[in-house]
Amino acid sequence: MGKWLAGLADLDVRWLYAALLASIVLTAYIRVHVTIELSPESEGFYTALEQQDGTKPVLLHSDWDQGTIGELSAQFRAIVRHLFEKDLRFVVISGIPQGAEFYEPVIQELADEYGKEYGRDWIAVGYKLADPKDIAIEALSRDFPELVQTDARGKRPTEFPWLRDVRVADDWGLVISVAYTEYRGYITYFYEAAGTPYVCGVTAIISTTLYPFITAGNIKGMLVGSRGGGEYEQKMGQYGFGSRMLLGESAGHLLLLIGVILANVGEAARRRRRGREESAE
Amino acid sequence: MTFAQFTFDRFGEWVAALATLAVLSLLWKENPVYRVAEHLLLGLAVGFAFAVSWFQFLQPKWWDPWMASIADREWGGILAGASALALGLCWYGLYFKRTEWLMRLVLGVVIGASAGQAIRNNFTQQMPIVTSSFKSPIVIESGSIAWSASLNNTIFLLALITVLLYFFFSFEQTNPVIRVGSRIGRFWLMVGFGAFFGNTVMTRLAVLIERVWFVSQDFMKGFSQ
Repeated sequence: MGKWLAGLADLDVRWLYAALLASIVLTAYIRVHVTIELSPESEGFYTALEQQDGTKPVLLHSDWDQGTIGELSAQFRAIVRHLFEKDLRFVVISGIPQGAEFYEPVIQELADEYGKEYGRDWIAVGYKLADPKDIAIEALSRDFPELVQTDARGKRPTEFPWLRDVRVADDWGLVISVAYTEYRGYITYFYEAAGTPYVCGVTAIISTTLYPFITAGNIKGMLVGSRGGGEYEQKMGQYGFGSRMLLGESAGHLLLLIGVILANVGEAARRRRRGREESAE
Repeated sequence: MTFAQFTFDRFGEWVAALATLAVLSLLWKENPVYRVAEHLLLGLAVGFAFAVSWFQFLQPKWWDPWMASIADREWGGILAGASALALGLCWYGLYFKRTEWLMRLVLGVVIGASAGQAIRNNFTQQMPIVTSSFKSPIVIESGSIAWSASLNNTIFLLALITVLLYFFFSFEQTNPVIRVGSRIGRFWLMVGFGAFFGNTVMTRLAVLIERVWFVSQDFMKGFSQ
């Protein structure tokens, strides 16, 4: 038994990869309903959106792509659903070249579901926020029509009646970013300068650094990775990719925990065995 | 596999699935298939970014207005377009010893702008965090002590002070209070790093899950139709 346990520490890591892949594949076929409530940071996000009365449009910064689709697509879908349900008009802008390839199909699908129309309920301006982001966001806060010039279909934003008076940071009701990380430029140039609230959807890896901003109140709410996506999705009465991800994540985490425990048991057994061998010598 | 299962409609799915398997093959061991997929991904990303940057950014904001100015013989626009080109080209001065100073000019402007913004950002972004950390260990709500909020604030303050003690390097930590406080601070730091690591695992796992589900579900679904 001791020899077997000691051997665990030397287990070929590829067996763990295989077990992880198998557990993830398995969760794709298991139909277990995972219910989850809004966490305080997600609640802040939801409330910030609920507080909008529709007199000012919402700025939706979408920077998710293939690398973050697992964590952010469900968040983005739930946010757009919330915007459409509350009849809030919004402008989608991106800071990555491939942004439109990902946000457009989601918005179009939900627009068809809610009977929304491009130009009347939302517009997309595409990739208009190049790096460095802070400088681009500062320009966006000063003169929106000047920065974007035209939307994705070649029309100037001022041609849309609901965007005719939108120019500076104060003219927006809310700023939302869905990206790998948050964009702190929005805190400086939109929230601190004009009082326009800012909420963000981010990957879990980034979220740890952002809790002080939530406590301080300069970020009003935050959706954290796939958990945030699942929470918001269920709040919107849906059970989709975000909720199913929770099951996959749980299976993966459980396996990792078992791996950590087994590795430690193996290491302890190996040390005990080595100690016994040394004392026997 | 029949020909119908490999139609042009599904070509994109086939490429995506094969590329995913090629990248995941690294888990077995380093191999040429993985290398091909890696180079393909980088090449496509750079090519795509260049094309989009041109068509969505440079062309409408620089090239088209510049060409229009040249056609109208509008000297202000011509000069603005030429200046932007000259400043942009300065970056490439980096590649030649004699023109390296040109790159430093534009780099200086960018660093200056960023430094100016960083100063402002420190006040607008960090100061509210600092002020919000001044919490009272005793919270009074409706005339009586709110025990849970008070306990929460006390723990927060203890963590804050002990972590600050850990980073006290101005003198040797011989005083027992400082030494014990510093050790407790290290414990809190480990809790913080643990949260970082847990969230890192969560993000990496999410990427893997999405890809594995794509291959095992979305892609395989095509074979059952």
